[in-house]
Amino acid sequence: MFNKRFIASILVLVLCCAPAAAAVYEGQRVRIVIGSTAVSGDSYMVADIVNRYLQKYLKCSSKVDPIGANEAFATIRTAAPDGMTFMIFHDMTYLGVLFGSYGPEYDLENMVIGPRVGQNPGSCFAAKKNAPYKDLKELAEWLKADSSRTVRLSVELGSVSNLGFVIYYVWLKDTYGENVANQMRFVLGGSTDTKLQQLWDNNADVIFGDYSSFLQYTADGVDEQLALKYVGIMDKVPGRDDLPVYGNMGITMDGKPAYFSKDFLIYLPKGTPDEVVKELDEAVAKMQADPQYQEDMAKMTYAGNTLPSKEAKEFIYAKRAAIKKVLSEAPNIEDLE
Amino acid sequence: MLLNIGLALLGTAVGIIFGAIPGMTATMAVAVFLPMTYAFSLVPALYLLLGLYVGGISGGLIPAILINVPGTPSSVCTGFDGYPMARRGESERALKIGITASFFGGMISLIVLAFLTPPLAKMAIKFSAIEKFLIILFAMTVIAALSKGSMTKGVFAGFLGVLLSLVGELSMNNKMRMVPDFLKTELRSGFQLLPLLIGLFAIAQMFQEAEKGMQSNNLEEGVTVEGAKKFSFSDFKGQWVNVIRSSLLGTFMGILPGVGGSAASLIAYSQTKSFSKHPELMGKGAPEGLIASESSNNGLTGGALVPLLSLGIPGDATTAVLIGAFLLQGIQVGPLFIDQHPEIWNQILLALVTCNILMFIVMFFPIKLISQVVKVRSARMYPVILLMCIVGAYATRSGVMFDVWCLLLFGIVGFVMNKIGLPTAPFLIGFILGGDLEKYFIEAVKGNNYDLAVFFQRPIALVIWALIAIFLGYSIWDNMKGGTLEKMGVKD
Repeated sequence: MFNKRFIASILVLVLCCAPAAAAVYEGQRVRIVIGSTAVSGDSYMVADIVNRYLQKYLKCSSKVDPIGANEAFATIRTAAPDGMTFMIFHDMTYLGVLFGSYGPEYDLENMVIGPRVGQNPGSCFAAKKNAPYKDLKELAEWLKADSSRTVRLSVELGSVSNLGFVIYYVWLKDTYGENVANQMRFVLGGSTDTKLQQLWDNNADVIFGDYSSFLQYTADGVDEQLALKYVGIMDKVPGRDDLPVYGNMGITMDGKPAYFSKDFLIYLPKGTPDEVVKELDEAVAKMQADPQYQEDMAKMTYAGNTLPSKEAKEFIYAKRAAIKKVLSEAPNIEDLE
Repeated sequence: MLLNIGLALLGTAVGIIFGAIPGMTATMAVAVFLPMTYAFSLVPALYLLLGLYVGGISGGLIPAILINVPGTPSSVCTGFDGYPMARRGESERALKIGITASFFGGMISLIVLAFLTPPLAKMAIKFSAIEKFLIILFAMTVIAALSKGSMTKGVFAGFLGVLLSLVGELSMNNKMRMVPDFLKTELRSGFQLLPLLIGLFAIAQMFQEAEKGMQSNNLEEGVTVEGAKKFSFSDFKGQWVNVIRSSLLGTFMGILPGVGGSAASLIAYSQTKSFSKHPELMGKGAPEGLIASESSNNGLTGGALVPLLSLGIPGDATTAVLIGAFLLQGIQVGPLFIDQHPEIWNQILLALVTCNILMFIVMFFPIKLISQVVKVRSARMYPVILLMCIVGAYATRSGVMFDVWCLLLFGIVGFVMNKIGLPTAPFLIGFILGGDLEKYFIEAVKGNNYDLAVFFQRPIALVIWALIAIFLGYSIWDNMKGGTLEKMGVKD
């Protein structure tokens, strides 16, 4: 009755008139949880910048919720997998499980890994300006010179600071012997201000924090009691070639120069559909190409290096495997109290 | 300038609303508005955020006085005398005394901030974990002051509160304490303060009312608002020493990072009781108790900015959020901030003056209307309060239903405690201070090779020990004297 041309014309007409597949996020309200309660740390700052650009490119109304690691992990386990709730967080997402602070139920395999949105190379150790060593390498020599010397490093359990401690310990053990490595003492830190007070109270000798948080204390003119110096930074900070970077000082991880940046990824609840992740990938690709995004991240000393979800997943799994290997050679940090 | 004043007004008004809703705090208000400040430059953003801070701290006095539920943890002591005044029909007077005391507290702390920031910051660094532990211990002595006539029960309730504050994960080793397996996720960070606080006070009171048969309103029998004593500035006659002492104590507590507003008002309250000519009237509707609590918690606002702007470390939870505002604008706060940004420093002082004045205007003049709440029929009032409490509890951790169950649980706990004669205020104080007490104790002994003698070696520590001993001795003597008088048939 109808010839083929007629049917084909009808089909073309229907396809042309059909509305384009609706965007998942457009006009929606989105909750972005982060694994920190502080609004002054890098987790909030990165999430805040990313949030503004996601609003622009996803055309959604989103909000950053700084609820802390416990709540954020619990939220990603229980939230509906519709993409309307997701987490932006750094390496602590898997480090907490590797260090045993969180159970296997919080493993990466129980989440959907979205794109990487940026990096922070500035994780570092700082000491008082008048400390008798200028960096972690000299600190090793200082410890080696007198076996009665100890150094107290303030870090948090199950976090990037714990990793910074462990990488240094393993390198110290391999290079200077176990006795020197065991002259390191672990002191439990907290937020940056808690660690600063530990240093000023003389309850710690070296504290872990973020490059930008310590920056003002390292400037000239700061009162002697408050003044700090960087003794070990885990990756290269653009424009600061003078800093003692782990890898540049010869500190290694798994036999290679140790460089570690915090990678901020989007994590979604298990079962989140592919089209949701695809839309996030597209938005993040637009962010990567947006010079203003790169400028905003650089202003805070972060890098706007993004990765699409597939590559981000491969990357973070590989990073986790490498760190797992290092941890297998390290003692339990609490035994070094 | 007009924009700045407009934003300060908005911030103050919204802050007051946040403070007045049980479960909502100044910290929450500042955190909610923080992302919006990105649209402004730093100075207007600071006017808005400081307005929220001052308003949020001040607004807590409204529910504390009118319904005996502290709107914020730092107004715990406000209800001790404010609520009995409201029950006597003096709600308007109590609110106006509280607002005026808040204003004076804010302004005195501002003067300290403006003129003494650098030397005070240097002094704050000298207060190590040892001194902070002792200050928290000192704040706990208020339990003795509140337990006159039943000290054993009061102290027991206080220790019970401390015990409860230790539930959850110990950050020293990430191990759980006193947490059943099935609540590992919900109780990882322990019981939350706000659901516990409003449960103990608001929900327990509702259960009690329900048991007795609901009263028509919150006024004492036979009392009318119309016949009650009115506010006059002469209420502050003889109270200036109290205002200045409490404001300075609040400011000082703010300067010490990690010692919160609750400790500030508790210490100010107990000191006022020690120096009072009529300590027996405190807790029964004495304006001096109300003045002490409110001037100290607003005194905290200026104090908490001292370490923030001169050391880069926040004095309390709200100023910790304020750091975010500076960072979002790319400005570091730290030891060089005042030298490098004198114009912002001056604007901060100006913003604080503006916000304190606006807080006074916004609260003082319409308070007549707000104070009429005591006349509202309880049957209409309680559902509204219950709803606000549930919303507040649910918002504590951005939407955790477990906190709503805790609210109801602690309502029952409070009801049972009242039934068996265990006072709830010491229990709450123990809970508020317990976590910090343990934290600073561990930090102090760990930093000194686990030697307990460190608590007796430093001069500041010895001074605080002396204060603790004098205050405890006085409380015990006062308690015994009260007991003897009671036996003799003499009432307060």
